[in-house]
Amino acid sequence: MKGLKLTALGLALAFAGGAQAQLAGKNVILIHGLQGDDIANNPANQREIDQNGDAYWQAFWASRAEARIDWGSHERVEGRTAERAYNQLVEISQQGLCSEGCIVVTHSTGDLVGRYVLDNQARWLSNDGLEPLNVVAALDFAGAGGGSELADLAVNAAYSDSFADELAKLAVTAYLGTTPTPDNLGVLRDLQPAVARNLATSPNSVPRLRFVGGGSNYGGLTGPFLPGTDDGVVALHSTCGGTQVGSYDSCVSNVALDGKRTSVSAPSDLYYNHYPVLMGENVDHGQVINTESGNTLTYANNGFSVSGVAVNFATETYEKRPWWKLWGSGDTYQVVTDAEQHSVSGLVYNTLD
Amino acid sequence: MWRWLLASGAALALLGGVIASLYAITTAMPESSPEPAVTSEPPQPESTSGAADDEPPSDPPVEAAVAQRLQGEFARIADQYEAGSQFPPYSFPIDQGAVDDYRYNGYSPVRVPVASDGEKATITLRLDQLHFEYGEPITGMVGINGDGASGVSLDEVTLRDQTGDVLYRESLEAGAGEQRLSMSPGTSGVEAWPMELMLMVSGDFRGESADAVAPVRYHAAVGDITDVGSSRVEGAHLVIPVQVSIDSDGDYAIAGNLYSESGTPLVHVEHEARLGTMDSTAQLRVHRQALEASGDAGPYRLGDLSLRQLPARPGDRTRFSPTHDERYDVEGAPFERYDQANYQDPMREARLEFLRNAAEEIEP
Repeated sequence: MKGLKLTALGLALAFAGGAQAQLAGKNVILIHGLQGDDIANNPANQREIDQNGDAYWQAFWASRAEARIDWGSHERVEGRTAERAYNQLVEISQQGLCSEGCIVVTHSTGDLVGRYVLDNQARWLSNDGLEPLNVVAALDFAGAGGGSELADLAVNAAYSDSFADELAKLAVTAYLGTTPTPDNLGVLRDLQPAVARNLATSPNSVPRLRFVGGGSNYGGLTGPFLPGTDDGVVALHSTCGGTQVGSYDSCVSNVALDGKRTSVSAPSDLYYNHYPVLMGENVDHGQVINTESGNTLTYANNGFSVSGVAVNFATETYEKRPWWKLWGSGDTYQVVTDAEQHSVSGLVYNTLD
Repeated sequence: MWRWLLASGAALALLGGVIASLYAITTAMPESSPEPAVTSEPPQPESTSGAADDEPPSDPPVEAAVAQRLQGEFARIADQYEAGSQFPPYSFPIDQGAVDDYRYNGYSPVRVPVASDGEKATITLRLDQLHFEYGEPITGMVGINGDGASGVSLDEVTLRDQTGDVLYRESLEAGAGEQRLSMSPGTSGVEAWPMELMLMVSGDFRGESADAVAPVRYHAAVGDITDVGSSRVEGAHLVIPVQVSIDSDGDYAIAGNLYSESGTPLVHVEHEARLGTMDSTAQLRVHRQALEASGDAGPYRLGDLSLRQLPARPGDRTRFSPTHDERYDVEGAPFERYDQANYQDPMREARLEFLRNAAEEIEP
């Protein structure tokens, strides 16, 4: 997780601000992911949490957002994180930042925190006589709302004296940058799939657009402990928004992450209002929110039109024959042409703005 | 001998020629595809790093082409959202495959790799649910798999608090393969325990200790669903009163599924309400559009009912009841008796506008 290595830049602003900090005319609110530094060295106060939150998004989204919800990874979602988030929600509500609709952008564990916030914000704010936020949509980059098996490993490493699998130990240390103990697990307890998938999963009317990768992090140390394809931190069952944990290689069953049109394992059902949009075979967990380009992206078009209205848009495909296939047609790939010239976030922002 | 070699060489050359011809011919033939643009080469990455997205686009035609592909994708999502959002999130059609997707208090397995002297195995813990109520046995499955599974034996299961201190222990007999797991902590002294516990199975892997930890919640009963009253038509909804018994006032959510008389799942129903010990009837509302989509005007059966106590304030914990097995009879009504007004989500148009905004230039 790229965010793990981020350090505070010393910016004390709670809100990002900016001349054009909007997307399609809507204010943008950022919710960051797990920050390993919080677990190794607990932030002393909200100011430090805000600084870490600001640093987290500097690569791309900071200048495009009007507000952030910052939280500490050393704390629990249904605990101090909810309280901290609520204090920031109150501020956002009082400033009217979502009066005309706003867009929530999340990364990694921010997907889980965001889901919890979206599930409860209307009731909490209304109870205090405040206007609930009118959230138009959420853009979830490498969303970990379905949990990560790396959190299971971390919790086991913290409690078990006999956690003796050396590769698993290396994976946990690489992931967290520190040795987990029962005292420092924080949000990792919430990120266990069994727990995450019981947090705020009720149907919500906010559409959640998913952007996923299948690249590798930490020199491939973590991948063996994540089922199916993963981005180095989170498996596709989570990033795609699948309702069940499983070993999947795509978000849709007819397009692989490299764009090849083929039968591929994918979640049979997604959480309510979750829509996979873009997939990149080589995009890793951190790349989805930074400015790194050079990745081929495919779109999760499953050719399914539920409204009964045909959506017949131009698409770009190419054929490629594997070296071992002597004759017959090649495989067909569907890709976003020239996506390599953009970062994932840049592509999404430019398209929606 | 030379003749044989020459003949073999000629035959191989001929075969190679045929294969090359076939390859060339079939490569040139485009696959029949509905897409207008089919090329024969994959796109080549032109950059591997940098901050291109903070800069203005360098090539407007390319930029436009990229945007157009994504516009099509967002249009598809807008199309799906438009279709789905005609039903309110508190009552929408489901099929058999989706019943489990909307079941609360589930569990995802915890897989823990263990190793001893170069041998490896995996201990899997899959509880039946995350939340258990006082007095309820904590049940699930424990599995031991992998090359070294035969060397693993588990002989104890414990409940621990977050510091790792043991609160309760039982013996266990588990070896390679899958076994049922059940422990009964009972009710004595459990009020002093934290709600959030760890379940640990412990044993031996070829002389070395081996264990695995999984999360579990153990708490007082959230409440009970005691009865389902007579349904009635109110506006565009079929209203079903559900009587619950609770110990404390607060915000609660009830979820369930409406089935046909023959047992086909029709509509998933959700309802949130502030309930009190003196006023504990929740009015489940099922929208006509969801019922009409199922094509079934009733009578129905209401089942899979579950109760959750919601966090009234930030920092409060959600508590879950088990899902009830019982199904209740619910009277239906002809669709004409309902208000014919369609469900209106005040944010629906704004969301569709946002999603369609990216696609408007290439609407057919």
